[in-house]
Amino acid sequence: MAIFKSGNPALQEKMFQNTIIIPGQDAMTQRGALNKFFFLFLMVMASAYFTWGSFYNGVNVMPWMIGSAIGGLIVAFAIIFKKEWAPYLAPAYGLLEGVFVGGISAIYNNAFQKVAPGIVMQAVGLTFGVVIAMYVLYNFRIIKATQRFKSIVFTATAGVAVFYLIAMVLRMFGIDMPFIHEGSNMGILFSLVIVAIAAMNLILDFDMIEQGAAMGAPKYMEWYCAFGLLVTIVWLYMEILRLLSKFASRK
Amino acid sequence: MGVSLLVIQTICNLLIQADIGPLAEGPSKAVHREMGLFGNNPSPGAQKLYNYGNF
Repeated sequence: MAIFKSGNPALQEKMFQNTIIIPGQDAMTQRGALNKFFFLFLMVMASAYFTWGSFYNGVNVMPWMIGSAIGGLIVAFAIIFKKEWAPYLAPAYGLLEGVFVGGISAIYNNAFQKVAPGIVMQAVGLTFGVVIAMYVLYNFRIIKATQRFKSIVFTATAGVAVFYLIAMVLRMFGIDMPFIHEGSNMGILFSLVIVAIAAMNLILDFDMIEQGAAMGAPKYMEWYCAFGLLVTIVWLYMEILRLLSKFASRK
Repeated sequence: MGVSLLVIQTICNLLIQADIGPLAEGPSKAVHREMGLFGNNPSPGAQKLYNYGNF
């Protein structure tokens, strides 16, 4: 039973070491992973459209958003630790994320309709712009996913997670961490740094897809990699939305 | 690193959802400041959210 097609030690990515190709089964491809991503993206758009419409029809979407955020977390962890389930669970994750994204986008759109009309479209456009730019930078090897680069991005992302976690705990005690919500110069700089870190995560996601295809990972890893890319893009979108809201709050 | 990174990305994703969304205390303060706009010409959904979320 061949675990990896490639014997190149440089391609011994831990992510794929537990995946097994059953003889006769197809291996993952980059195009396959991108196709799966577009399918997941359609799932997000469909449920986001539904929640957006419901909000403007007077439906209270808040319970849906809470449910989808919690449900999304559960499904995400199920996918992360049971990669073989990704073909079934990744579309569900896409639908759940779409519910949240649609709801929060509608709320922002409504709240900023006077001071920053079209804030959501700007955030969507910027997100796509960043994703395309990062893909070009990665594809032409202007940014290379070296081990050092991966370590830096990993550490920075972990730092963001810990910072957010501390901020959340402190907020429960009525203490607000500076910069997170401020529309000040420092607050905007803070958001820009987080957006940059989220954008750098895209390089790691593209690299994961390329490595998986190069190592001949099993087909279901296409769904897994597409899911990973979606997680980053949703995070990036929400960071950009918040950054734009900070700019708008200065008006 | 792959699995750990994905775990951290997912946590970041959830935490920002909690922060700008309803899990923690309603939308972020940036939105919070602008909530007065709801009073001008609130959509039915915004009005319900306003009543529901107390933000």
